[in-house]
Amino acid sequence: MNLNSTQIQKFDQLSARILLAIHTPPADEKVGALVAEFGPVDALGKLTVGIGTRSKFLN
Amino acid sequence: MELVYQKTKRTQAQIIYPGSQFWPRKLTDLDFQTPLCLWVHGELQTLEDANKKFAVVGARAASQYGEQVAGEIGSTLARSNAITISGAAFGIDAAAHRGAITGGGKTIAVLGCGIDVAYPASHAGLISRIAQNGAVVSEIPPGGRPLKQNFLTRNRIIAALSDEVVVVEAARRSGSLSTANWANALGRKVWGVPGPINSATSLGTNQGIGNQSMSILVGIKDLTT
Repeated sequence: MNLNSTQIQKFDQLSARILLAIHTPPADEKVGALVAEFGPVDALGKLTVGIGTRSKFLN
Repeated sequence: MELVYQKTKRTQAQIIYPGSQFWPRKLTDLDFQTPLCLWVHGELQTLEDANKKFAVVGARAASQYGEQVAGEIGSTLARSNAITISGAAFGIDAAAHRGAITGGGKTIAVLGCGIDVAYPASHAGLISRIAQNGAVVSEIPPGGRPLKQNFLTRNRIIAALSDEVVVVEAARRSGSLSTANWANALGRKVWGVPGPINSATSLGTNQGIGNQSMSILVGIKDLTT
């Protein structure tokens, strides 16, 4: 998958939130719940679906 | 993935995200272009402070007049408890931040690079003082380089965080005009400081005033009344 710079930025932002949820619970409960259910890698995969589009999952 | 977190820890930045305490609600006006998180140095509460926020932006290669006006705007806003937002660049940005700090007020810098990267390097001290007198924020992970495209996308955050935007000096193709465009698109009031008609650094603002995409700023007190 080729990502443009904005998408890479969002990918990094989501990575930071996943790690924040892992290392400092209960921070970012919504992301934390996804990590608990699917694990960090699959959670990141789910979160990045539609990255850079009108996906409002995290907004 | 872990690297982003380790760098964040090392820089002692705080991460805020939509829904977290002090997340600036105004950013949701950006719809799907809302950043998914921000790295912050300084006082988080400044971002959600109830006082009015003004972006003061303009040319890096500013004139003496432009820097003087930007400084006076920053200090005048500070005295009326308003918050000055800018981008920590040379010229107008730096003058506005310094004016706000000198006036005893709060100021916010939105960077176009990682929060741990002082850009321009000679503004490391200023950026540190901004964090002590407000907040420094970035949507770019720590270590992120100051790439040209980052500054254009950064401008949407400056516009969205603000209630009103003041463009002090801008050349015809100035990046500050992108901040003004974002502000207009988001429904923020945009002011333009008029300049001499033979000054290249005022061409963008004079044109903006002429085509009514900016309201003319006749006096600084217009901002606080």
